[in-house]
Amino acid sequence: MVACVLVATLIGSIVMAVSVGSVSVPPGTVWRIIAAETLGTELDASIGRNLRQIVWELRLPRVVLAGIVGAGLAVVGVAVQALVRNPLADPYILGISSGASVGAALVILFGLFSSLGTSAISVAAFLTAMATMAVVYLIANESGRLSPMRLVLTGVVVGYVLSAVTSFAIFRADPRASQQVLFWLLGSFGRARWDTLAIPAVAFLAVLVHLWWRARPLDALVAGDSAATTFGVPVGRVRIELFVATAALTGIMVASSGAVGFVGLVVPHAVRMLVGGRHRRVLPLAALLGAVFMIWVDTGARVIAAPQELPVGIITALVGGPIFIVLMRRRDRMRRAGAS
Amino acid sequence: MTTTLTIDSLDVKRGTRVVIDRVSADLGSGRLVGLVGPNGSGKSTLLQTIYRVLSAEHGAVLVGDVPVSAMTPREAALSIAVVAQESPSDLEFTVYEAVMLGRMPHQRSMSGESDADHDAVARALDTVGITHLAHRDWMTLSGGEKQRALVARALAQDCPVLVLDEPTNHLDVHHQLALLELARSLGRTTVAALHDLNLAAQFCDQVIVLHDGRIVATGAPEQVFVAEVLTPVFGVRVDRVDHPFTGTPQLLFSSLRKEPS
Repeated sequence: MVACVLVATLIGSIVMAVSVGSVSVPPGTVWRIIAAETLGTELDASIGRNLRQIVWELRLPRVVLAGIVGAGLAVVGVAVQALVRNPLADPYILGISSGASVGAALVILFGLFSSLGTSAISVAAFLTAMATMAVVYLIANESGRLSPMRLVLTGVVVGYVLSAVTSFAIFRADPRASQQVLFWLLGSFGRARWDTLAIPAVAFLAVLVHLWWRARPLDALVAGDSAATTFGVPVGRVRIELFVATAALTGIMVASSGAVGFVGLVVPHAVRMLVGGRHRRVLPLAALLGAVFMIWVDTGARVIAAPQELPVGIITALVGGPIFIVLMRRRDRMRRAGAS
Repeated sequence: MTTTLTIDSLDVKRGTRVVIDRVSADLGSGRLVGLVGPNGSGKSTLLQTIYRVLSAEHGAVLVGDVPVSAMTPREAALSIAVVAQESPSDLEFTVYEAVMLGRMPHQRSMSGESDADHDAVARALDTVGITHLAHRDWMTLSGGEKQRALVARALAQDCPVLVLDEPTNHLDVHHQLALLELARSLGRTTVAALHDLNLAAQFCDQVIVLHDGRIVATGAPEQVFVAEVLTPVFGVRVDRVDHPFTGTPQLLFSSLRKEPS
């Protein structure tokens, strides 16, 4: 039920988000353009070429990327919270995003990898994210085991060290470049083009399927490591799998759009409040809700202070925080009512 | 559905410390065996080695004639169900869902829950007497209700061997008796770490007294629970009287330093 509502909302959100902007396009026109492009049919003559270009070349890839990143961060948040058994965990607690930020900052400030052109930032961010993943793994690893506590502590500490590197680079750089880095760090989907969507999309789907397949072990991990062991879950192996899958997807998400905060923390909780903690239900719904939320946030980022564009991360926190508090209070009220 | 449980010259270390030192015991089949001993005597370590959270330096735990260390995780989970001391507090599951976790070794990763799974969960809830709690959120349960739900989870797992680590924790007197009566009536090979020696005396077919990682005595409670065995292990004076109603021996404890008044 919740899933059907969310799918419908997602489709509606995509159309609405595409229609809103400096040039407003009626939703019906958006539909017709999307239909014509995906089915390969002729577009009727009343719709101008530049409208087609705004909808299909500029806005839709951006909306789709926002959806993928929102869904990806939400799903990673669900998995990381089970991986380290900590409700405060989010995709960035393992230090991966700080690693990605170092790479991005180095490219923006010092022009490294400039031979790669526009994708230099993403490539560098992804490479430093993966290097960070390796470092965190090697430090947290205790004779083949990743204990939740060590993983969190290592991730947080490595994250701080890398953030310091980024801050130092920003501090030394000229103000214009510094502002560019700050904008990147807070997240933006402005660089989205169809040809840059494939990697995030495929990575997201692969990790979602993997986590969905591991939904039961995830349930078991939440119940405790030794409990999971007694249910026949190979806890050590599952932890390493989860760590690699979530870190890789986090790296790819951050590389494509910066470190958009809050979604990966709040959406998993919101979904669990709605449908309980079983991962088989939580994972797909978190993906849908994360996508819808991020699409609206990005729409807000484009229109609130138009023509200037706001960093996405500011809005996710400003909007997401109060929504989350309302949800939490409502759940507590329901729980008290249920218990009495 | 019974099988024997055997511990064969087991050594277990925690770090560099030897916690279990050449322990061998035959726990028989279909019986309730009580594991008693002071804090730090190695009860939990021994149990955790049985259910494979810890691994042995030497020796083996055998279910039937298969060493648990040679089983796959799933085979082990189909042989041994556990009620451990740790109990998750912020589990966002209903009681029904939490008990369903016990069915995991019976399920394939992509399939849904089968009728057999739902039957086993319903039966387990009924056996423990918490069917009325099925749809409550885990987080709203009291300590005793959680403990009983964990027992239900272990029952739903449907294993020939049951390991209970301090199962009477958080339970009131009524539920302590009910739980041990239940454990006895299941006819599974059950080993339970117990702090309350009188409960052990009343319900266990066999007791094992553990001290500093070694077995000090084992046998029927009437034979093992005597002052000569218990005083050096627990450091207390032990007097035995017969229970006026059940007839089982009751142990009375007093400080060794205290003079009788």
